[in-house]
Amino acid sequence: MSPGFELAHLSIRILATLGLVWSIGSALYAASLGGRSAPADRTARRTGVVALVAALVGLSLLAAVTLLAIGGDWAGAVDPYTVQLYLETNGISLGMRLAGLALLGVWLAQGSRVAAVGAAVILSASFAFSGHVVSHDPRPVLQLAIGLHVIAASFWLGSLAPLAAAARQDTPDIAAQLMDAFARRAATGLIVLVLAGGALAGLLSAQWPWLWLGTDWGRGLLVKLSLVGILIGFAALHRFLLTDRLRGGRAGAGAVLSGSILAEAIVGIAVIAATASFAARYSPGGV
Amino acid sequence: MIRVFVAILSGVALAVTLTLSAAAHTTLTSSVPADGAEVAPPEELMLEFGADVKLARVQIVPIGGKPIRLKLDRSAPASTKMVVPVGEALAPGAYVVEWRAVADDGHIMTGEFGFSVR
Repeated sequence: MSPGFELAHLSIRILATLGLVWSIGSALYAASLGGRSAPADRTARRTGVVALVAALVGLSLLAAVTLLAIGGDWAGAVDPYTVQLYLETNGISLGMRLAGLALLGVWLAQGSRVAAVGAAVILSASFAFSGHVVSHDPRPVLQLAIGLHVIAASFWLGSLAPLAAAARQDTPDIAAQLMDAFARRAATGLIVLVLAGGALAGLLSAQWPWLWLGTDWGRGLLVKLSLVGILIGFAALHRFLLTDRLRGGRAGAGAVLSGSILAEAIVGIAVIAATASFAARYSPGGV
Repeated sequence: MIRVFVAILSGVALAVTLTLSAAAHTTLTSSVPADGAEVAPPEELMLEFGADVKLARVQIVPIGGKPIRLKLDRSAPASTKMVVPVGEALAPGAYVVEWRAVADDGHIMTGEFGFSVR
């Protein structure tokens, strides 16, 4: 595969992953924190629509370029054997993703929280049926870990745009209460994120962390962890400084918090891009 | 809005660039004929990988000639060692074998090796 094709393949994979993560996150925000702030609720729905479109476009393009990569050319891409190979390795997760996105559409159209939760669970679980977790042992543990990891990360990242909207557009009291409610859930989410991520990294690489520097997969993981460290720094800044300033009624505090949350979201996008990139290109064992 | 968009693109580009380097997933570990070997016309090719794969496509390309697409056993299970019948007698000359394979986890690999028929 040419470098240009590989870059296109990778870019499409990142688009699809971002769409899926923000689909899950928007739905989880609505299910767990919805109803507290009208601007935040509107933003969650808008983000959900954009994420749904990005996921559908990304998954469609990803299927096309993956078939092309397997088949070698357009004639090979539509060969039934190529389609069989594609479905053997991606069919379950693709089916779950389409079902999850359909449920997401139900949430967006009707505001059903049950549909939002269902979409988030199915879309998160879809990550457990393709990629490295299906080719390493212990498979059930890895599948559970990646599902939990995705759901916790998506809740965190998907809540950022609604939180930024509340900080900028809602009253300081409501925005601060929303930040507090998010922080309580995010604290639990962070524990799940770290435990599940640690289990994934340890079981997939079967190495101690200081040996990760010796493999491309490990170095990619360390880049991701560095970016996650920046995310945690942003979260601490918002939790322990900027939310208090907002609550205290300091002039411009809402705009500052909103801008800082959007900066956190951009780092979050970089984390997802880094994850999609190193997981797609490298093997945990470094082989 | 434009500044936000540029910032997002920069974040993505930075993250991708930081994780890009040379090596990748499992690949071909050996073959018969071996890369660079000079052999009698082979009746079959053997490709060995570092992990279980399914071959998606294998073709032999004579230097300056038309590719010969080899027939794969489409029902063969994933394996580290794959044998592919050549199907016709190769004339003396240099050839390149181009292969594509899919690993259990969905990763797609491509590669090539060359040999000569005496």
